[in-house]
Amino acid sequence: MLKIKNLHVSVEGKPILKGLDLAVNAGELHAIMGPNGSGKSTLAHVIAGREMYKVTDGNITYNGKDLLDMEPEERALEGVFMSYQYPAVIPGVNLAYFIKASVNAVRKYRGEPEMDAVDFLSFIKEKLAQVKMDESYLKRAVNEGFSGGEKKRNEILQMLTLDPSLAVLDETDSGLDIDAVRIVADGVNKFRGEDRAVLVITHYQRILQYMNPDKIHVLMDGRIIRSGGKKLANELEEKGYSWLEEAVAA
Amino acid sequence: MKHLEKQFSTIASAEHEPQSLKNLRNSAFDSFKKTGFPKKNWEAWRFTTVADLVKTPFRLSTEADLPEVISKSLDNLPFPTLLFVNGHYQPDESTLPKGINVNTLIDSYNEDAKLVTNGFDSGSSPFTVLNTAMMNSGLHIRISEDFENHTPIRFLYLTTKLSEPIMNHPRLILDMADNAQANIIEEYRGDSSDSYWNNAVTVIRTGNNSKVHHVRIQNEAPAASHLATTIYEVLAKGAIHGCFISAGAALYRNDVNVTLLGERADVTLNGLCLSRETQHMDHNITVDHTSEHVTSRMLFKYILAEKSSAVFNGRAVVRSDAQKTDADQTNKNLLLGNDALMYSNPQLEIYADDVRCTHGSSTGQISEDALFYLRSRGLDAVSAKALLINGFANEVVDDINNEEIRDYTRRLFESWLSGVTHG
Repeated sequence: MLKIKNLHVSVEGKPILKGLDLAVNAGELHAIMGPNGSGKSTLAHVIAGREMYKVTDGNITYNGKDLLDMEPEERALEGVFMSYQYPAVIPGVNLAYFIKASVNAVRKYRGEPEMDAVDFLSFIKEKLAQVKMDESYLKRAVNEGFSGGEKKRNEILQMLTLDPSLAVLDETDSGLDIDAVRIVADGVNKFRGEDRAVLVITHYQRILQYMNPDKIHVLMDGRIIRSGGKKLANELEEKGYSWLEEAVAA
Repeated sequence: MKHLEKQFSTIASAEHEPQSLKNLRNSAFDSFKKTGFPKKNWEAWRFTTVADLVKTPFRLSTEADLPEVISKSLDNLPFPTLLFVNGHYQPDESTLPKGINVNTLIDSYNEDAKLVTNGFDSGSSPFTVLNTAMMNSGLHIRISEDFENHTPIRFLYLTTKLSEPIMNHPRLILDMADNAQANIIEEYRGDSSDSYWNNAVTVIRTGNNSKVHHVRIQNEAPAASHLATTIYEVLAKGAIHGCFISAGAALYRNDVNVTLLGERADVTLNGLCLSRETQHMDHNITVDHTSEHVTSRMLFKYILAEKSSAVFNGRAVVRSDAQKTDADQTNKNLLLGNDALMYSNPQLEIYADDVRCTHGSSTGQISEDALFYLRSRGLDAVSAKALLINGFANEVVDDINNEEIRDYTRRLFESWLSGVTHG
């Protein structure tokens, strides 16, 4: 579903990703782990299409299409979803209005009829329950005054409503207590399916305990330096990233 | 000035006016001549120039300027409307709600001069003084305690297409009885593609414990100049909720002067100021807190597109007798154009020691993070931008209490917004 080849990305002229290769197939969940500054968030933003991240070499294909050639909204409509580490606050726009606008944009793109207010309400109520948010959130401005945990649950809520094929979760577990991590992981597990892929970007292996990753990749200094199974996460937890750093240097 | 003097002479020689009113006009005009039009070096006019206004030979509107046909169905709004066309009140085309008392300015002036002239101190803007000299249009409205109709009453000032630049100096005075309540819309619109000038004065005086919601909509034609003075006087436990929506005119300036006169008097001043192209808009606001336990809230939001410019001057004065005053002042501005220019100057002047006052001002552009967030959820760039601008304006629009007025205002805003976002 997602194929990244020799990806080089710079931010404000500074190279961050230096030849990254990655392939994620439908039905799989991959985790990308790495220390701060290794380029994890950059990878997520490049997939979502943020302009300030300049691709200087390499390519990304998504379902065979050139992802880098698409506008951010096109990517979303094609089924690419990113859960942000720091979701933006949208003052004055309530959550119900925003999610309805997004859901209908996607439905329209897929040639499905747009949802009216009544259909939307029953639809969103079910999704809210899945991430343990109550209906009062619908009337609140998007992310305004939300705690860290509320923002992350709101991201997962949007993932569940937009029905994407590829979900990229950028540090969705950071700053969450253990209950919130479980809610997020539950949301991801509900989302998983044969024709869907998930890329979990994280610093800690904690959230991976609640998921069943097919592959774990370690990103360091802009490259994937090791890939493996679930065991790799445990090794990292025990020995820290410096262990791999030394192993790679040697 | 020569031209204005000639125009003044036509109104000063009107036969039906009492001598005392003529004297009032004469002394006001003398006073205006002494100060003249505002100049760049006046503090309150540093960023607003009236040069184009001074250059244009405006003629006072006469009955001959009335169009042959006045369309009764201006819009399909359910508001009882008092209609003014080119400055002239049209009682036959107006719907008067029951329970309000309508007088001409002259009748009220004859009854008691103060009804028409009270509330104007010597510190007024020269345009307020000029309005006293030239007021050629207007009404004095009394609303009694029995008036229980919560349907909004609209005062609609319409300027139609004319062959030469006209001016009007309307004055609208509203006196609320004790415990009376009302929803008021004051709206200015123009069809003319040419220049015209409205120099409007609006006075709202509450009784004790009376409550007014006042929505003022300035949506003049693009070449118009709209100068305004808004005076609120609030007695004990009285409250005025004012909302200033502005989208029209080449030049718009409103001097808003609020005096909280009695204990627990309360005022809310909200504003949504929408400018584009080379429009210039200016609110010069003073809220004078003179009694104990008074409260004031000010929230002015400006959205500036293209090369437009605007001014917010907000001043809260807390007198030594106004202990326990609670005053907030917020000005937020959204610049959509790289060449748009905003001057913001919130000020506090506090002479009492036991008060709570806040003020703040921020000016910025659309957040790139927020824009990207929305796009990454499938909204195209234009819709995402419009949604963010909508969100910025909502705080003001949502605070309008009456649903019909709120919807009406939202439609006006959305039509402005679609003009700006779609070029």
